[in-house]
Formats: sequence, C-alpha cells, structure tokens
Amino acid sequence: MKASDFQALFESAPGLYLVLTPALTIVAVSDAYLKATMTKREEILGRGLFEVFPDNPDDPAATGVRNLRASLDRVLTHRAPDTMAVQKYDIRRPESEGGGFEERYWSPVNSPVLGADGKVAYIIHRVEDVTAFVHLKQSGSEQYRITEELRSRAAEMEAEVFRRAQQIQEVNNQLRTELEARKLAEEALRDSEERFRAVAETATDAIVAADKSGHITYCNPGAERIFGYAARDAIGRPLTLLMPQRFHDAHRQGLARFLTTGEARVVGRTVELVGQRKDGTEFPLELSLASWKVGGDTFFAGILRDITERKRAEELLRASEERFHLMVTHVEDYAIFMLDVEGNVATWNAGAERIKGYRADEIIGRHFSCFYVSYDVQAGKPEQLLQEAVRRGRCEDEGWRVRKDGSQFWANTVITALRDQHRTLLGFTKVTRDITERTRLEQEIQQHSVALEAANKELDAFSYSVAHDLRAPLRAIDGFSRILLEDHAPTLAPEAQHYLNVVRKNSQRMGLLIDDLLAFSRLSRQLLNKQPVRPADLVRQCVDELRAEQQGRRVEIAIGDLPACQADPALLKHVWMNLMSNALKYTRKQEMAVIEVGSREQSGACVYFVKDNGVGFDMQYADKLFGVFQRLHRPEDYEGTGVGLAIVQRVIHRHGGRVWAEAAVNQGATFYFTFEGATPNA
Amino acid sequence: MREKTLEILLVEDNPDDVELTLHAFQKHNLANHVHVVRDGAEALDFLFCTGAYKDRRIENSPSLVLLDLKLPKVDGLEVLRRMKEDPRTQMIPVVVLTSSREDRDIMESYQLGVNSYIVKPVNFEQFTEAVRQIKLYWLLMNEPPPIPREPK
Repeated sequence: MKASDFQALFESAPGLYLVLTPALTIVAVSDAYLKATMTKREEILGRGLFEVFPDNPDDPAATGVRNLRASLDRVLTHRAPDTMAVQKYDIRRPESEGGGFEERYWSPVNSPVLGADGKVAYIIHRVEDVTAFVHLKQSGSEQYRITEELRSRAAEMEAEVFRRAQQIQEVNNQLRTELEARKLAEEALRDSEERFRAVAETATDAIVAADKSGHITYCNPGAERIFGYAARDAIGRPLTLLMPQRFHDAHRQGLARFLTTGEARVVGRTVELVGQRKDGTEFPLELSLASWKVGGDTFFAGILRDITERKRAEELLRASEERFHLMVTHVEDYAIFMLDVEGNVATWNAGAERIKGYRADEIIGRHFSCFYVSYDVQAGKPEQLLQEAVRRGRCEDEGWRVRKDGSQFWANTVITALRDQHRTLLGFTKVTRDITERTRLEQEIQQHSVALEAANKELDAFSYSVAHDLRAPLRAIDGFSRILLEDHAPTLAPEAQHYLNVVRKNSQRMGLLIDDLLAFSRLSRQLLNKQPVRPADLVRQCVDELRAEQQGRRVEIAIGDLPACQADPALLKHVWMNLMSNALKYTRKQEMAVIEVGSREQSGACVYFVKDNGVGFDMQYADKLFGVFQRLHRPEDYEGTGVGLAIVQRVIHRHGGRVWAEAAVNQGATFYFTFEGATPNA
Repeated sequence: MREKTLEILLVEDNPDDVELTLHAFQKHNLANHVHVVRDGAEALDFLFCTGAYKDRRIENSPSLVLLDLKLPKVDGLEVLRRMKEDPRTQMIPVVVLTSSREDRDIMESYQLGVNSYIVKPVNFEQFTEAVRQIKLYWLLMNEPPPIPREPK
C-alpha cells in the first residue's frame, strides 16, 4: 500500500485517534476524533494540543489538562504506554452551534511511537468517548426508570469506579514520583560517597572519622603520613592516640559533654590543637571537625592539617614585623609616620618626636599641614603633595618645615601612597629628614671649594711668576761669570777664577732646583686623564731614554709581569722614570747593576715594584724619603735635587694609592707602589 | 730690494738678557744685524711701522723675531697674535725665547702659530749654543718666504 492509502485508512478508522509530536503538536487525526470533538482537521493540524483543547474556564474543578499533561510526560520519560483514568474533559462548542463548552467524559490511552534512535518520535492519543454512558447514568432516562433502584446502584457503582480510578491514579502518580526521587537520591549518595572517597584518598591533609565512643573508624593516607600510623593500626583505637597525654582528659570531657548536652566547643569549627605522631613528637595542627547522626548514633569526621611550616612562617613574619616595628619606632634620624587618606597623622615614631617636637598623643589625629610653613599651607602645598603621591605613588620634596615650637628646619620628605591588593588607597607613609645641617655643610663645602679654587689660582700665578722671574737673575749670574772667566781670565787670579766657578755651579744648581720644583708643582695641578695603561710600555720607554746613564756600565734590567692598569699615562711615566733613574743612579758604584721590575698581588690589588742592588739606605730615614728637597746622600756622591721621589709620591697619591720602600745600607732598595686602578691579572 | 739681508728683531725687556744674548750673537758675528726693542708696544711699532718707526718701510721686515713672553705694556703672546693675524707680518718666522716652561705658554704659542719655542737655559754655555742653533737653522738653513709685493 502506498503512504496515502495508509493515511486514508488511518483517518477513516472507527477509533478516535490523535497523533502528537513530542512537543505535543497535533500532526494527524482520525475523522472519528474530529467528529467527537466537533473540530475540523484543517483547524487543528499543526497546533498545540492544549491550545486546541483547553480546560473549560467555567469549571473551576477542571483537571483535564493537568492529568493529560502528566500522562504525556510519563510516556515521554518512560517510553511506555500510559492508560489514564476516565477524565472529565469538556469540549469547546463551535460558534455556529452556540459556542461555550460541552461536558464530555473520556477514557484515554497514550502510546509512544519510538523512532529508529529509540527515542519517542510520536505519541498516539486514543480516547473513548464515555460521555453518553456517564450522562445516561446521571440523566435518569425513561428507559431505565423501571430498574431505577438497580440502575441507581449501578450508577453509584460506576461513579464509585470513576472516583476510585481517579484516586488510584493519584496514588500511582505519588508513588511514581517518590520512587523516582529515591532513585535520584541513591544515585546522588553513591556519587557523593565516591567523590568523598576520591578526595579523602588523595588529600594531603589527614582525614579521620570516629564513632561516638571516640574510636577511630577511618583514616586516610594523609592521616597515615602525618601521624605515622598505618590505617589498620589506628582504626578501632581511641582518638587520644593522636594527641599528647596532657590533652586526653580534656578530650574525653569534651566528647562526653557534646554527647550529653550537645554543647560544641570544637565540633563545627576550625581550631588549632597539638597533635602527637607515632614517634612521640608533637606538632601544631589545625582541626575542622564535623558530626552527624545516623539512626540515633553520632559520628565524627575531622580534617587535620599539619601547620608546623605555617606556624614557623607566621612566627618569622611576626618576629620580622616586630623588628620592623621596633626599628621604625626607635629610629631617631628619620621622622617616620603614617597619614590616613585625608592626611591626618595616624602613627608617630621617636624620630618624628625628635625632629618635629610633638609627642605622639599631641599629634595623632591632627592634619599634617601643621608641619608646613604658613605660605606653603596657603598655597595648598600639603594637599598638592598628597595628590602627587596618589597620582605617582610617591613624591619627594625639600623645603622649610615648622617644629612644634615654631622654629623652622630644612627638610627632605618622601610621601608614599599605601594601597591594598585591590589598589584601594589606605593612606600614606611620610619620611622626613632634617637636612638643615647637611645643607649647611654643603654650603660650607661650597665655600671651601671656592676658597680652594682661589688659592689654586694664586698658586698658579705664583708658579708662573717663579718660572719667569726667578730664572732670569740666575741666568745673568751664570752668564756674566762665564763672560768674566772667558774674556778676563788673564787678569783674574786663579783663586778668583775658582770662586767664579763656585758662583756658576751654585746658580746652575739653583736653576735645576727651580726647574724641578716647578715640575713638581705642575704635576700637582695638572688634571688627571685616566685611561688604560700598559706599564710595561712605559718601563721600556724609560729604559730607552735612560740609555746615557747606562753607557759604559754593566747593567742588567729584568722586566717581569706588569698587569695593565687605569692611570694617567703621562703622570705614571714620571713615576717609572724617577724610580728607574734612581735605580740606575744608586747602582752606579756596583760592578754589575741588577735592576728588577715587576709586580705582585697584595690584598686583591696589584703592587708594582722596582728593586735594585745599589747603595740602599738606612730604614730609619725612610720617612724622609718622599719629602721635597729631602736627600739621604751627599750631592758629591749622588747628584740630585731631592724632588724625584716627592714627584713619585704626589702622582701616586693623586691616583689614590701609596708608595713605600724597603732597603738596607749597601743592600739595595726596593720601591713599591699601588693605586686605585691597579688590579692583578684576572 | 731688501735694504739689509739679515735682520733679527730681539724683543726682550731684561737688560741683562739683552746683553747676554747680544754677547752670544757677537760670538757668531751677528750682533750688527740685531735690532732690540724693550717691550711689546715697541715691537708692534717696529713691525707695523707706526709711532717711533713710522718712517720704516714695512716691506723691510726682519728675517727673524726672537720674542720673550713676559713683557711690559703688551705681552709676547699678544705681539705674536697680532703678527700672525696680519698678512704683512704673518710669514715672518717667530721664535719664542723665554724662561717659561709652563704648558699653557707653550700651548698658546703654538696655537697662535709660533715657529719655534725655546726655553732659555740658566747655563750660559747652553744658552750660547741655543743662540747658535737658532742662527744656523733660521737664518742659514731655513728658506725664507718670498718678499711680499707692494699692495695694490
């Protein structure tokens, strides 16, 4: 048969059929149904069931819609047919026949049509119209009058059947609902038990359950780990197993009190207690304890956390906070205090009291603008500083501040905005330093440097004039003595000639002294031009330039490792030049001069040295060695002006270093020097 | 044409130094060709033919100027600066002959274009030797600049 044939067959079937989608939309209907419900196919297809068949609004007791919906829901849920009790379900009368509702009674069966996926695809709603039967029973028609008694009894029975059917349906519904609820509850319980077990087994905290006698009924692995007992050893033993002896009585009393009076001191809250491990060691723990009753019996479960680390951290934090607090409180050099959001003083330390003159009880609560001079307050400076601190997090200021006694001081202040983790402004910290003294010292230093600069200029002018003017007369003395000796020798007695030579020798020596003195002064004034220097290069240049001194002598110069350094190369060369030329000069009388140049490490610095095997000197005069014009040898033995080592010392001092010597008479001398920027090879 | 071939202008205020210098030149037969001025102002008058020297012709410039730095009125560095600024005198070799060994004097002299800087030795033999070297180098070995033409 074709599909259209099936449709025709269905529509003309004698039964009353309605086909619904799971959404309760009418998709097919039999002619008999249309006739019984006084509807037309085209008017109801595609429309909702309850839109087409609402309850009779004039019947306040109407239950048709509610019951039918419940039945259809069951079909959808259980995918099984649902037979309904006889229902009063009134039908809307067409307007053409006067409108309103017509009383009807029905006996419905709802059956699911399952799709290929096993889900409900359609619901077939089949009804029997039992109105005539019910009416008959109620109307008392002629036909049945004779058997009225019988019929009335039958009618009573029918009505009774109808009522009973309704009641049974109600009970059934209730039972069904209850069953479903219980099933859900069981599932939920099973789920929650599994969840609890999973949580308990993996928790790092100890979870311990006990019965009302205080005996352990459950221990999780966390508890085994923390207390050191295997679960099988702990289960069945009293809870006192897990606590030190001195708490046993209190525990027992607390348990008894709770069981008899319900007074809970521990149950239902989190408390800190002392636990005891299997090995006897005690540790702080945090306990959250719950209790419940099953069938009149009380049970307990506790979550215990080992808080040793937390306690230690808390203690450290507390100690550090206390130290910090003590430090802030007792700091005297700085005023450290806090302001609330409005700028009122909230805390006060010793430094604040010392610097500003207020005691804590005099100032706390007052606005901090009282620390500012009147013109700053009028200009709104305190508020501006707070606003800047709010905007930038911090603001620094320098200026005059007022003490309690009205005196002023020059202050440096830093205001920092304090915020919590949500960036909410909590207030400010303010640190004030009295820098009046520092400012005064700075000004003093400034004055000193001006004076020093003036002195330097004077010295400069002095040296300049020495350079020009002191040498000219010497030149004249020497020059004219020479001319006398040369041009007038025949008329001069030999003694006179000798004296003239003495005059010349001395004027020349004075020329040398002036030259060296000027050189020394120049080295002191010259600006340092520090750069990387290789001392080995400088030493080789010096040896080269001192070649004349080595002429006709046996000289052995050994140059060792000389690490590079940071120095002014021109000035440093003077150092090497003077030391090398001294070494050559004072070994002059040795058959073989041996000079060693090298370096060694001393307390992380590089110390350079020049060692010779020359005449040496007596160490008791070592302190005179580096003075200007100081000499330890007679000029006829070793020439010189006594300025060379003074130059060495001046240059080394200018490099932030020091120079010293070790020597003994006729056993040679070693000169050492080191300075900032002289570092050993890495 | 040059009136005199070898002329040295000695700018020196110290009479003893003048005498010693001339003595040294005498030894080398140069004394007759040395003209001495005693301060910076006089040196400028001589070089630029002004004041007492207004009748002198500027083309007859000296072959060499020996210049002390510390001078009355106008100091040696100023004389040097004026000479090197003026095209008529800038080519005359200038040797600074001074007592000063100060860096700033040496530096400034060279910056102004000095041709040589010699520190007068205290020792007379060295001084005479210096004068002899100056003569040898600047007057004999050195090729002087060509004679400037008349300005148009």
